[in-house]
Amino acid sequence: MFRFEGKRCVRSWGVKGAVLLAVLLAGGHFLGYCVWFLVREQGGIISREDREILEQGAAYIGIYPATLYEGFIGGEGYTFFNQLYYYMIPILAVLPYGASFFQDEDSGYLKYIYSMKKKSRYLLAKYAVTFLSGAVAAALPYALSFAVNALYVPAVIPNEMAQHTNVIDVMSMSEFYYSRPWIYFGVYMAAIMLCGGLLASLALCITYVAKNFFFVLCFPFLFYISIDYILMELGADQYSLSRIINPMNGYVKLHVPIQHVFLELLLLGSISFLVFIAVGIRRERVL
Amino acid sequence: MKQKKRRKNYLIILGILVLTAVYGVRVAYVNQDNDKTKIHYVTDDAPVEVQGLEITIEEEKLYETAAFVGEFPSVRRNFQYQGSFFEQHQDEEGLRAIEYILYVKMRFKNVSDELQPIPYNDYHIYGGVSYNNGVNPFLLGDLNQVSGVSLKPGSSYFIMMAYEMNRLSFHPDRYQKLLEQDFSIIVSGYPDICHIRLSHLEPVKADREARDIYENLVSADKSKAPVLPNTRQGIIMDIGETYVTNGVMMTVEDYDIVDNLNDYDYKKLGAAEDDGIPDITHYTRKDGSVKPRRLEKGKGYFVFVTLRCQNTTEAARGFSLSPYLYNYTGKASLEDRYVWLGEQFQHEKYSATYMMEAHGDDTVTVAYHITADPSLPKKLWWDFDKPLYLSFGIMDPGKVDLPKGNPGTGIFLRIK
Repeated sequence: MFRFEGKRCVRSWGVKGAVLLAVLLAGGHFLGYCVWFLVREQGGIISREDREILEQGAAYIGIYPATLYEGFIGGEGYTFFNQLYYYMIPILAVLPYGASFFQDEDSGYLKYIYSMKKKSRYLLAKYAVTFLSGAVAAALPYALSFAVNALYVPAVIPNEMAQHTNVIDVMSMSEFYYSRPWIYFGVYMAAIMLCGGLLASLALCITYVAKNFFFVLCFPFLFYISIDYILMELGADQYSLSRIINPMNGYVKLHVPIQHVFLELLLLGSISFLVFIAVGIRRERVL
Repeated sequence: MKQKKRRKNYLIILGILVLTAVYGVRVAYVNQDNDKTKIHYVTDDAPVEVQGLEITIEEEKLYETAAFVGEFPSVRRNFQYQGSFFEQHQDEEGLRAIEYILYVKMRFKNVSDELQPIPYNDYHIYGGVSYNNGVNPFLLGDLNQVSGVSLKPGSSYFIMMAYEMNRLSFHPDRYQKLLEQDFSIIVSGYPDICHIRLSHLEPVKADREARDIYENLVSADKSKAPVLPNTRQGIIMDIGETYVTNGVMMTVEDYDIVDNLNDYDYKKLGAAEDDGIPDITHYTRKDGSVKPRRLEKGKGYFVFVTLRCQNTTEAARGFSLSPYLYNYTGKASLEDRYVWLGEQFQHEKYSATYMMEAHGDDTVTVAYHITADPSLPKKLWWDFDKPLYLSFGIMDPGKVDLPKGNPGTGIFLRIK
């Protein structure tokens, strides 16, 4: 069942849409950061002014080349692409397979499946494939941007003296940022994947009450920004989904250890899983 | 058909392999200079030569802050809660969070043939892999009683560097074991990054007397909190208005514009205080008239501004007294300034902070030397028939447009 759902997912138009969006985001970031900011504005990996100082034979403390870890969509804050990406994650996550359960119900295909296969097997496979597709789609721009920007920006380890970001010792995982940044950003990629999977699975859950395909598609995004707003009003915005998965968010890194980030995501993911499976198994009426 | 499909698959695989190879070559090319960012560590046992300076670590200690203020009385005002930034924000805990001072005595010797400045403000301390901090310039000035040091070839000088180890800037686990952290001082930057590893840090604990001194300094006395709020940023105040900082009110009492400096009677200003800013007497002739350097006859001015300062609080207050003079076009006077302080001020040489005693009320005169720049069109020279402003506070000069009434984030007080 899992393989069957997997093949359906890969062939869906949503996957193509998610890949296209990922390419646009990564490409846009490359143009915005590497071409416009680094080449045009700054004059290269090392700025024009700094290069002049170096050409005079000085070793000025504070000069440091741009680094890939602070120069891809997940790690830099000079262009608006970082914010745009994190707000598009729910759209990216739901595109590949999030609305497939609704489509199966709506088309009557679900009745057919339930007549051929055990309900629980179908639901588990549906959840797993949707979760995975959402996870991959959410992380795709992150990985793609890293790969594309590596064509121009060197992968040097960030340096505190020349830091362009705001990671200080007191923040969660700061020791990795300045020694093994690939672990640091790898952990955040895992968080983004978990979040993407969670958001995609929310589309599955809402199918039980939704009557409209576009509502199912939009629900994860509505949930995402609503949670932001509600937590902000409650004074707990450091736990909002859009912030906890963003390695650029200094406020969260100061107040929320990385373990709590994963705890929150796993908790929400578990809730969505239980809701989807439990309701799905008990539900008799199929639209 | 099958063969065609197979050929197509082979072409796709070949294309992927070629693209991967091209990608790999490009990434390798982009990363070819990465070794220049590697940090080169040297031991603190021997001198290290960097950019014409030979640097030797003579002492390295990790003081409890109480021990530090006990041993160095000149730095105590940097840890005084009353009158400080912390008191303004009711943040006693913020000051107490500086529990340790990392002290390093460094000797510099000029081993080159040229005059070498000592860039001690660049010598940041690194702790472990993720902590770094610069030296507190006020602390440095009070500790060393210098402000900018350059060495002649062959000469040497020592500087005492003091780095505040604030608990709030460290990961709690690492702060608990501060002495075990891998501290180093950066002395050279890219492309030859060099750190001197501090492997002989000596802990210094405070004795009872030092603790008493420290407690007196850092303790809050809420009855002495300032009454007046500070003047907000982003304001252009009119003639006669008052600027407030840290409980001290400043108003412009008088101003004088002198354009014939050769005949100016310096003695009119009374006794001058040599406060470490370029020595006024160096530019004073025997008859008392002032001749500022770089003066071209008829093309320079002195603008004397007398400020009345009143400390409205019950504690001595520290504040910065370095307003810039701005003309109506938003151009600042960036040349020399000379300061004459009344008796109720305290100021130590080379310090950026001036202190006024509780309920103090006295005047300070600041003289701004303006030179006309013959390379600029005359319309950009200073026109003293037009408004003049004093500027306090930090701002982004690019956003200031005084003719249109836009102060940016600055604080301007019109004096004329």
